[in-house]
Amino acid sequence: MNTKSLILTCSICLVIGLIFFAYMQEIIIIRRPLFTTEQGTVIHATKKEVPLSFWHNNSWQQEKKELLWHENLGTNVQNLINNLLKLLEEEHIKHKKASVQSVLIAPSGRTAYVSFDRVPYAKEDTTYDKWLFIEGILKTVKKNTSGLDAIQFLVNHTPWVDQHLDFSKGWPLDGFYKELQ
Amino acid sequence: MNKILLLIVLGTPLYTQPYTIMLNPAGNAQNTGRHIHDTFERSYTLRLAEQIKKSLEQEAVGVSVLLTRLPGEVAEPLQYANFANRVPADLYLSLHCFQEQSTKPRLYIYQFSYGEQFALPKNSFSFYTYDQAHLLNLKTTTIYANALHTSLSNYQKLFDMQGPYKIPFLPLIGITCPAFGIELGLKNSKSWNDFVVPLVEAIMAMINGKMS
Repeated sequence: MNTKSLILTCSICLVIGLIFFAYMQEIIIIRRPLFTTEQGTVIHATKKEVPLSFWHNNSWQQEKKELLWHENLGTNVQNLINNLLKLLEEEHIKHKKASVQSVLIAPSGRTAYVSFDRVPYAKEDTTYDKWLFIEGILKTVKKNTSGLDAIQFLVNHTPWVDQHLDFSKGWPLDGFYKELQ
Repeated sequence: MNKILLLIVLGTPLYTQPYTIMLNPAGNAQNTGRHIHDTFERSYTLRLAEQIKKSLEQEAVGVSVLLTRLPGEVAEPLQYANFANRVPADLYLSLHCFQEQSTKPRLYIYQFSYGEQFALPKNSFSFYTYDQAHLLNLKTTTIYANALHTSLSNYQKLFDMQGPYKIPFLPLIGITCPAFGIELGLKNSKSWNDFVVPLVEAIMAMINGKMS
């Protein structure tokens, strides 16, 4: 192989590599005209008033909010938790901003995998406060959905490691604070 | 002189079988814990644990108190549980602190649970997973929890006690002996000292309950 063809082969490989990299990084978006994307499909959603529960001033508080209710359970769980987090921020009950990135429902339909973009509470919070924050999520999801038994909490799609609470197992929707339910 | 000596002997609990208490001051060389009054949780918990150890060793003969760590040490996950199970400890207390914002300090008690109701049978030929370890001594843990609650209730003037709450409290996972997590609210840099006497009394109440 002479030098010219070697340089040519290297250049072609480099260009292909750059295009592939740009595609993988979503710098270049290739749209296939015959392929129907999810954006193109009609989303069936209805308005629904949902109760959001949270622990504040040593008792359970409840606030109703109108949400778009989808057919997909995962989307509903995501909207419920994100709205609960927004409410807690607005009421200055929780100062750390966080949101749910995605929710996946296990094939059994019994467990929801909820992934946050960051840990939703401060490191300085007491275990009691952290626990009751989680109980609020469980209570809200339980009141508004059916069929789910447990929620597996994740952060950035990886296991949520907390110094005080064990999230290696899914938390039952009934929670652990039965006296206050 | 003999009467005085006799009173001292009677007044001091003497335990024929060695009784081992393991104290786990939260934090270590890698994990500082919470930020409290310009320092870290790990230093408060260590001071508290050392003081409790000192007081217990003076008050109860035949009771040995072990600390899970010394300053500068690092521990792997489940290392303390392994340590407590191998010794074997009769009681395990994990001590935690936070900066108190309320007017009255709070004290929380936790015990490990995934919401189970029944104890597992103690069978030396069976294998149990580490997350079931707490079920082996569930009955004793309940007795201890009542003793802890009753003893600390006498100090409601000093602090608000809450619990014992049965939750998946991570520092207690994998421990077979009765184990409790205690979280204390510190109003200032010296208030950890206020909890020493109540905690020593509560530990004594648990030991006495076991012995009787």
